[in-house]
Amino acid sequence: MSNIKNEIINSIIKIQEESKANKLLTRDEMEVFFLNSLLEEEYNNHEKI
Amino acid sequence: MKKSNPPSSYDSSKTICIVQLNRFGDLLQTYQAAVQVKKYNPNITLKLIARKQFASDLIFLLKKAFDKVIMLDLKSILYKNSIENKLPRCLSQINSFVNSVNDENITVCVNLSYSKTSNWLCGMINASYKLGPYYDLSS
Repeated sequence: MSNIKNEIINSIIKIQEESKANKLLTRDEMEVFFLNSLLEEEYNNHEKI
Repeated sequence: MKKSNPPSSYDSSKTICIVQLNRFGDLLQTYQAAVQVKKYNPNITLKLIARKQFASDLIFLLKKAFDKVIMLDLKSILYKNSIENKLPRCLSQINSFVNSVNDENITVCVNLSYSKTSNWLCGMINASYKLGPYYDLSS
């Protein structure tokens, strides 16, 4: 799962680099953040276990 | 955050979708709230978005209050994809999931989870009125 986490981080960095001051997030970009958030929760749950 | 007016009346054409991505206890409380909503508004359509890992064990109960339970299957998204091209495959599944939610013609989306994850999801759901936190595509 760490591989996909790195890929997501790279995607988010790319989104942020491409972002201009007033750029709105697209649906595709929101899906990346949604997946990132799901993964974060999954990591946290494993840590608790 | 965009402001929209709440629906003026609840008739059979209205569909309320509740997003509850938390665990069993939260799902049970959501179920109890849904029972009350249905009791006083029997004509509305109630739908629930929940994680499969929690909702599947309670489906016998949830089906008594909700007309449809839409399950977010995290295991299928994260663990059943091969390592090669994993991110595009995961994103493709998420895209399909959000599209399937948006095919439900949701009038009101209610986020009861209060988590970053559910905020992103509610931001992507097309609904004419949203209750609870969500990330707005337009701001």
